[in-house]
Amino acid sequence: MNLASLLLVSALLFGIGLFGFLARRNIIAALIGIELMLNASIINLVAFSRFGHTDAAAGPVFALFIIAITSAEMAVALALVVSLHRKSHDLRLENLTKLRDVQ
Amino acid sequence: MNDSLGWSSQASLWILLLPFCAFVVNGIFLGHRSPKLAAGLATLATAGSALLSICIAIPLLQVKFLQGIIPWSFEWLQIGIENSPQAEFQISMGMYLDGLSLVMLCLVSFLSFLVHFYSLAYMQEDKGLGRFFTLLPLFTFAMLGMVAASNLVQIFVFWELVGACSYFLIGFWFHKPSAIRASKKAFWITSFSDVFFLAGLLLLAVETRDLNIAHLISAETIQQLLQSPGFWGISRLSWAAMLLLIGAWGKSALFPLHIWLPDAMEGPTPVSSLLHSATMVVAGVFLMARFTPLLQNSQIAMTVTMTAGLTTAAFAALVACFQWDIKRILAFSTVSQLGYMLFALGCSGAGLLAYQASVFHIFTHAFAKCMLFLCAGVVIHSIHFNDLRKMGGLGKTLPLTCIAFWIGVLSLSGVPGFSGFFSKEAIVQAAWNSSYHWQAVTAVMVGGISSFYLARLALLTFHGPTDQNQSKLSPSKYKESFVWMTPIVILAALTLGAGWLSHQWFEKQFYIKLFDSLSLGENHAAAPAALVYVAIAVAGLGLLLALAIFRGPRRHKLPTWSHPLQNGLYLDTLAETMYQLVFHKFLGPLFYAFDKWIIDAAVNSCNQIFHFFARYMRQWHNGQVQRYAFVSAIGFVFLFIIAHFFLTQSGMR
Amino acid sequence: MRDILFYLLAFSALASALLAVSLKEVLHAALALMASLFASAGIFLLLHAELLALAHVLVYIGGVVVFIVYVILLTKPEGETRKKNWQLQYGLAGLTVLGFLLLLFFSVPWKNLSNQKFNVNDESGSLTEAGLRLLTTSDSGFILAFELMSVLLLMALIGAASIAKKSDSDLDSVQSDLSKGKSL
Repeated sequence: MNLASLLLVSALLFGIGLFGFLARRNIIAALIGIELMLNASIINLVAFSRFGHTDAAAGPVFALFIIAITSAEMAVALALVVSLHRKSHDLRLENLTKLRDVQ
Repeated sequence: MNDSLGWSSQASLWILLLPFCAFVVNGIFLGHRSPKLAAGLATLATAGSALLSICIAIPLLQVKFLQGIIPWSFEWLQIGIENSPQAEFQISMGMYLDGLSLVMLCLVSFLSFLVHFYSLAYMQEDKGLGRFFTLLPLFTFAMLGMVAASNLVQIFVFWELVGACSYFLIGFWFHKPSAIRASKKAFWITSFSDVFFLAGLLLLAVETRDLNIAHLISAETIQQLLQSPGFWGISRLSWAAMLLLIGAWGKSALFPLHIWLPDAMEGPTPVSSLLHSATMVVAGVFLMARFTPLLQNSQIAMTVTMTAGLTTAAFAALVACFQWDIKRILAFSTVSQLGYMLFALGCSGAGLLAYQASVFHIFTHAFAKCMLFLCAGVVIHSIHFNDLRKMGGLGKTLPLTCIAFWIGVLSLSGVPGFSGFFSKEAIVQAAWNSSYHWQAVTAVMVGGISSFYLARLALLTFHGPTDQNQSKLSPSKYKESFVWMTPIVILAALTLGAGWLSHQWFEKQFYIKLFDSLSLGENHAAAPAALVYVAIAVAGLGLLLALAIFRGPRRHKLPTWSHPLQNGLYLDTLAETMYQLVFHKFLGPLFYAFDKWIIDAAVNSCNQIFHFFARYMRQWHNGQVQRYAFVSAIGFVFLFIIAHFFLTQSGMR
Repeated sequence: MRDILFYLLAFSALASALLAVSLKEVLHAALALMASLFASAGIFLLLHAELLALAHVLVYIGGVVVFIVYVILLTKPEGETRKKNWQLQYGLAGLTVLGFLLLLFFSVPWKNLSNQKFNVNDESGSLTEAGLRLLTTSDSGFILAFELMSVLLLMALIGAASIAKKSDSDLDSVQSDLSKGKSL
């Protein structure tokens, strides 16, 4: 276990999460992709705080903040999903085009 | 000299400014709103201009001019680097007054005033009255500016302005396709020759570096030009003179570039009158007269001038015999007389006499031709057509016009006592004196033909049986009102008396500094008196022949052999065909293709490129979050690559 | 021993993450996400970040993923329906991710990184120190961020409640649905 392997895991996780966000059609599946990406970034933060001459406590504390922000984001996003489901019963991302410019 | 001018140096400016002010005021304010007021203003302005020029000219003309005076001038342009005398080139504008320009100023402004006055009546019912009286003062201004110019560039500028004005005025009735054609034709042909004028101007500019007229026609300049090596076996001086001559060629309607002038009658008759007498066509002769010192030092240019003049005179006279249109005959007559003037200038190498005769002929011809056109205007206005075959017997209804017309005819025919006689005799004598014997004889013969066709014109118009077409018109249509007839009567008086009054002055006082040692004409044998008698006899013969043929019953068929002459040796057709070939068949498609495939294609392809990209880019803006995320991710990747590349490059890693 | 544990955890985190993005049924994907997050928490424990591991399990798995599962159950989302251009979307996403990863692999100086020493003893990453750091007002303290975070969480709470709340028109339609005998 060294810094490189941790970063590799983090990068791969981030890539997988990005793929999930880009490829999945279901809005909740895309949110799961986002979760994975955030998780990867937390691993990154902790890894850097544990190796080298850095402030060891700052990484986990920052990661805590990220977790808090993520949960806030998730709360709002899932509230939106519920509201959306109530309006249209359609949770496919490709159909959510109401915000586009009029063509 | 300038001190003695006194008030007139100030006043001379106003000769030019008055018509120009009329143009500006009419063009901006009065032309649309109150055309009547515009007409009055224009007439008043030209009257003032005429009055001023006569008042200034009369005291000055008592002086024998060896050098022109410049009452005012200002620097107009400075070309080249300052403080380096080699590269500096100044163009000034001003007035150059000598015998020639004074005579021309008086002539132009006075005739212009009369034509303005006449137009008050002639154009009063026209819808374009305001426009007419905007353009006519401008026309006058342009010509005045040209004849008084103190710099060759100024001559060129006003020369082109004259051309542009004649374009507008010939095409005045722009709803008539023929008028548009005629104006375009006039513009094309004169512009074609203007190119050569410009070339000559540039040659002189390069050679002398000072285009002031006083400098150009000074002995030193001519010496310098004579000494500088020429090319293709012709001296620079000859090149310059010839190029200027070609410039004058189109403007003065010399054969074979005369073809625009007979068509130019499509304009209103007052315009024709002014254009034929004192403004447009005389510009070319004026230019050559102005540069006689150049011309007379170049044997080639002189020979060309003389030949062109004589050919034109003979050709146009012959063609005029076979025309049926009253204005067309007068137009060809103008061409013929212009040929005379140029012919005289071509003889001027041998002496002062020919130069004087040429300017004298400009002077006398202008009155007669102006009047003839005004008379034709009266005729046309009263019967509303200008075909000679339908005319006849108008002398009874238009007696005053008839008398004036005959005075003009006799004057141009060279009947003794009328002013045309003096100038024509002067020309023939000058040619004979310069040892151009057969040319002089030809000129006399052409005079005979002139008298024939002019008499024919007068006879067919005013005498003989009345045509049934015109008898249908009510007699009240024929009118010789005061405004109509005043200019005609004044011009008739001048046509009668001006030659007799002024020929002494032209011979004795009208000088220009010529530099040929032989130029004083003392060594030449005077023309035999017989020449004068022969000329009179030939003119009389022409008149009698016309009387014999056209007094009796009318025959409207011309002999078959005259068809080429009726059609002006088919030069019009030739020019038309060439125009068609060059512009419609060749240049038109070429430019069209260029426009379509290069310019339009460039513009359209810009559009197409963006359209193409837009069509694909648009698909990415479909409102789906994931598409935007894609774009962001790809953009991030690229940004990262760029940043990474630069960081490694600059060693900031 | 730690290395083996790490590799096991890393492998399971990656594998379950792959499952989370590739399983058709969203509920299964959420469960795979849960597994992945557990594995990540294990890695944090290995790195002596106990507080973080705890928070991770509590907030992430106990809060967020459970919330996701609740929403899935509430909304009964259809599984991934592979429509006509799904291959394009998957392909594009794969390419983008591949490009991103390649970029990372070629631009990160891996060798320098692997030389770094593990610098944490038992005290420095501990719960006590993290708690102190979170709540001190000194230069090294995070009290301001902590307080801001609490405000943010409060706002998210209120926002989520207000968004997910049934609006009046929804209530009307629900009432009409109820009157027709339909159940939610």
